[in-house]
This record gives sequence, C-alpha cells and structure tokens, in this order.
Amino acid sequence: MNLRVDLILESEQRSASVVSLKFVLRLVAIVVPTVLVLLILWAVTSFISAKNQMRNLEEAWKITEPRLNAVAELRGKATLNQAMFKELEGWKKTHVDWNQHLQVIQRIFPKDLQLSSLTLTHVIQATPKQGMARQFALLLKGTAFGDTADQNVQKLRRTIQKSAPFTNILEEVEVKQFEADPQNRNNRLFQIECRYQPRLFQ
Amino acid sequence: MKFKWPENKQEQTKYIALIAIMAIVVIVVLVMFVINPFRKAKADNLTALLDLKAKIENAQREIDKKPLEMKRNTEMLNKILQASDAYMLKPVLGRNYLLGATPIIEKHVKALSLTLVKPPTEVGIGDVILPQTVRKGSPLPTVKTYTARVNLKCSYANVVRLVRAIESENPYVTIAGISIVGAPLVDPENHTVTFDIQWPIWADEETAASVRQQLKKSSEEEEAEAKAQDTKETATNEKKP
Repeated sequence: MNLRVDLILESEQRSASVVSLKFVLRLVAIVVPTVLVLLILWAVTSFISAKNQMRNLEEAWKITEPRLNAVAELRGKATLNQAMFKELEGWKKTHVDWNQHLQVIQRIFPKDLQLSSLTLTHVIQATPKQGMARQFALLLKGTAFGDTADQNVQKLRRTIQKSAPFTNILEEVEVKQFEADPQNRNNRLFQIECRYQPRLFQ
Repeated sequence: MKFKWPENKQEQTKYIALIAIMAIVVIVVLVMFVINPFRKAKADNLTALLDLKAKIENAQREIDKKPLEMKRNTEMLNKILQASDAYMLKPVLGRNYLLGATPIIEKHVKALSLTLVKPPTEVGIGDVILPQTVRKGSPLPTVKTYTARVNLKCSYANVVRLVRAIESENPYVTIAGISIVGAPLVDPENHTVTFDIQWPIWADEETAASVRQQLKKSSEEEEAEAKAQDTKETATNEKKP
C-alpha cells in the first residue's frame, strides 16, 4: 500500500508545462501592440502614398486641362465654321436651273396655244419641322384657240407634269383660269400654275 | 511601484480578464479613431484618384484628336473662303452691292449682244433666316440675300441663254423671279423681260476677312503641330535600341 503525502500548499504549486500563462501573457503583450503598430503604419503609409499619387495626378491635370480647353475651343470653332459652310451650301441646294425649265417650256408648248406671259415668283419661308425653304411658282398665261382649246390646255398641263426637269420637282400643276376671251369669244384665256416643291436650305 | 503578478489563481483570472477588457478597448479605440479614418481617407483618395486618372485619360484622347479637329477646321475655312471669293457678291465702295452686281450682269448681257432697257436696279437685302427666329444658343445666320433686277427687251431664246450664262457661272445664285410679257402685235420677236437675280452676301461684311485671318492662323497652328509631332516621333525612335 502506497501513501502519498502532499506537503506543498496549493498556492505554492507550479505548472510543469513549457508554455506558462505568464509567457503567453508576455507574448500577447508584445505581439498585439506590434500588430497594431504595423497596422497603423500600413494605414498611414498607404494614405500618404495615395495622397502623393493624387498630387502627381493633379499636377498632370494642371498641364492637361488647358490643352483640353484649347481642343474644345478648336472643336467649337470648327463646328461653327461647319454650320457656316452648311448655310452657304443651302444656296447651292435651293438652286434651280431655270434656263432648263424655260427651254423645256418653249419646246413642249403646243402650236395651238399662244403664251402671252410667263411669271416666276419666289418666297423664302419656314416649312413645318424642316426649316427654311424657297418656294417657287411659275404662272403661264396664254390664249387657246378653236374647239379643242380645253383639250390643248389640259394636254399642256399633263405634258408639263411628265416632262424631264419638272417631274420630281413639281408639287402641283393646275389650270387656274380657263374662260372666254372678252375680245374674241371664240378664244379662251388660260392660266396654268406650276407650284414647285419647297427647296430646303438644309 | 513594481507590479507583481498574483499567486492566487482567482486573482490571476481577474487580472487576465481586466487586461483583456483594456486591450479590447485600446484595440477598438485605435481601429475606430486611427486605422479606420486613415483607411476611409485612403479609399476616398483612391476613388478621386481613379476619377482623375480616367478624366486625364479621356482628356488625352480628346487632345490626340487635335490634329483631326485642326484639319476639319482648316478644311471648312478653305471651303468657305473659296465659296466666298468665287460666288458671293461683294460690296463696292462701302456697302454698295449694286456696283458689284452691275458688271456681272453687264458682262453676260454684252456677251450675248443684248441691250439692257435700263441699268440694273436694286431690290434689296433680305434675310434667309430671320434673326428673331433663331433658337437661343444657335449661331446667328451669317448669310443674307441681295437681289438685283434686270430689265431687257429680247427674244425668249435669248432670255434662256442669259439665264443659262448667269446660272452656270455661279451655282449659288438664284433667279428669284422672272416676268416675260409678250407684245405680239407690236413686236412678236422681242418680249419685255424682267428678272431678279439673288446672290448670297455676308450678313457681316467683315466675315470674309475674319475667315481669311482664321485660316492663316489655323494653317500656321497645323504646321506647328505637325512639326511638334515629327519631333516627338524622332525622339521616340532615337530612344528605341
């Protein structure tokens, strides 16, 4: 039978482990502040680095901004000049070769009709949604003779509508007047109006 | 005062708990008031940095387009000046456009051996786009119309020839009105002819001079830019091994 007598008080007992509580506490006391200091250092240095990068970029922007403004100014000027050129080109677009129209009228005009006057009028006006345009109208006044007067006038109206320079450019051809000539009741006075499609400046 | 670690286990536990609480408080305070503000400031800085970087890159892309914009501007100025010099009516002796129009009309009339009934007359200056109808912010119209009236007594065929001569010389000109009235009983060959010729004119007489000046400046700048580009390219090539 073995008897074990413990003569050491509980407060006097020591741990036999290599890692003592004191050691752990010391380790924590060193490691935690070190990690904290490192964290703070990392935060500060990365902040300073970002700040420096920002300063460098701000310097670069100071150089870039006036150059960018110069390009924007140049683009503005080019756009204005383009608008000016477009405005001028509008004149070319609204141009009608009247010599061709006059020549064709002379060619297609029937011998049974007599042209007494030709009037071309023109106004510049705003068209809905499409901007400014030239609006031309051609008025042919004349006299028709004989029994076929009405047919001849209608034939001329149709020929104008179908003839080459007029086909895609005319809006409407209308006989505006057809009545007896007060000086000779056998003859008929007629008026044919050719309304042109608006010639847009843009 | 020297700190002595207590021997009593219960006391030790109390000390450890106290130290742990203090450590947590210190860590929280440090994170909240030191680390986090720095991290937030850094994050804000980084966002601003990226924005600025993108802004600079975009700006650089725009700056790289400068030669193209210069070319476009010079091209436009050249075209405007060509049209202005060749086709727009210029005032003579101040603001007298009729003195500019008369020789043009007379030249064509003379070439066709026609005679004017009377010298050309002025119909006036008009607007293509009324300044009050221009939308706010849009450029004001730069071109106006000038109309002159021609009176002749000639055959229909000669009117056609005269109109053709005027129109083929200048594609910008518009015959704004024609009146051909025959007098078959008096003179069946020759008719009373009146027609209006309309030219484009600058709303501001100084426009042509200003365009010329702009063109000169633009050409010089384009040349300088091209030289700078050459120098840059040469320097880059020399740097390469």
